[in-house]
Amino acid sequence: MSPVTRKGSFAGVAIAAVGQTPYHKNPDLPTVWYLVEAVRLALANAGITKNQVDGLAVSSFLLPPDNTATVAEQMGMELKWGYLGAFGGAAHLIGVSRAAHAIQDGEAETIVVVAADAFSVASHHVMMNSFNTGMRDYLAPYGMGGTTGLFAMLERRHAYEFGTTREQLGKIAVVQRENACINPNALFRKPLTLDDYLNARMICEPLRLYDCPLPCGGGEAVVLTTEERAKKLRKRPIRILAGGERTNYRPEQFIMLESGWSQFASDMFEMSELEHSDIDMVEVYDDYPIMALIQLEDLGFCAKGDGGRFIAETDISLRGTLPLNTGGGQLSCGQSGAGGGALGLTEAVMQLQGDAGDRQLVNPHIALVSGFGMVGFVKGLCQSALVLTND
Amino acid sequence: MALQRCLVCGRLIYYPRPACPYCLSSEYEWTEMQGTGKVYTYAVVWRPQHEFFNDVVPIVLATIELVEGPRVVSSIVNCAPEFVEIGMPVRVVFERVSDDIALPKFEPIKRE
Repeated sequence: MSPVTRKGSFAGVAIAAVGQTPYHKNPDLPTVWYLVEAVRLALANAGITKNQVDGLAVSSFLLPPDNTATVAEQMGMELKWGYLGAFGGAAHLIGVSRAAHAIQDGEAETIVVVAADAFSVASHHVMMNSFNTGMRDYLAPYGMGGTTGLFAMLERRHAYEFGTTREQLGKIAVVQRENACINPNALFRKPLTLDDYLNARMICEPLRLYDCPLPCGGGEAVVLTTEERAKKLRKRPIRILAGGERTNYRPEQFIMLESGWSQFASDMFEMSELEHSDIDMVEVYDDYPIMALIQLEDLGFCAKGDGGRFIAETDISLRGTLPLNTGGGQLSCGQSGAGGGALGLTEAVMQLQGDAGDRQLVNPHIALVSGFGMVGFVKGLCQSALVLTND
Repeated sequence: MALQRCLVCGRLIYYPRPACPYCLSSEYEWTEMQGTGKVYTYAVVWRPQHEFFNDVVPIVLATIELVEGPRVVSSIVNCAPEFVEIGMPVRVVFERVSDDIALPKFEPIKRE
């Protein structure tokens, strides 16, 4: 293993394969089933057995009272390295970064990173009412409407300051639904028109039905190992060119028109030696279209406040200049709790390995994936991102 | 309506918590605010997240910028949702919800 000489480098590590469970509305199966099944599928896709795994990273909201150690116990896995993700929808990508550095440091050789939850709409509301002490004591008593009420406040301010329109945001939902229509694993595969989006049932004004992902059961896993090992396995190795992470960006604010990606995006592009025009697909955390828009701004595809115009003027479809959430995103696939922070990575790897079926982009090389989550007092506290390549 | 003021660095603290997020001191005193401010942003909740609120929707959830500077989250009452605007001046009113707890909410300040 050659020494890591450059800060922030992921040299010597590769993603071997991913695995994704089916998604279920109102799941009967427990969260641990989705975690284990995602791992099983990822290992099968990689062509390795669980005995060849010596590290495990787990992100899941509903996991307690279980944890990484007890999940390893349930899977009969002995670990040299472990991680328990506590960064919400940012935790999976952060776990991938931690795992990659652990492999570089020789702490483990092959690590599976998994995120899963068995959610229903009802259980999601229960969780949000007591998600942390700040929300429980100072937001929930007002009847906040869950996270939707909080992001409705954000969208309204973004529209007030920058003129962002419902039509611009609706394009995200509509195009992502087109992608989901040809994704056999997506929960929502009926076409959505802009009219449907604009006139849908009001949830928390201005957010309507198609602004909101559906909590569901599901799981996503990714196998990381050394680059040398990955080359001998079943699929084309995917390398990580750069990554970034932030928690509690601008501590004194909670209406976050700009968020943490703005602080590390240019570093990631510099580290990767890439321009924005080199990105073949961008998979952002789409709990709401407004957050997808804010990620495009903060990741540097356009200036702050220009997100609406950028979306309107850019072909974000599979045939376009910047394919967005090529699998349909959480908005059309479903939000499997912590798995919602992982499906973008799963989709990016499938695309880069040529396994995206009818959604397959033509000869993609570079993917940008971002994560977001752990809603604290109104704002999502954590941001993460990775740049991936199949070169 | 009272917020905590840190006795070491003098800043106002919101949301309430055991220690100052600016200097980490746990010496503070509850300080009365004027109780006025303006709407910074808001949402209208039609689908509540708990059946307790089923009979009171729509709820106007709002971020209020107090005259003293801090922004707080509350709800706007005594105002139809369609008349709420960013920038609207508001003042605090209290809604008793239990023996111990009165929730601060905000109503529009009507023009004289």
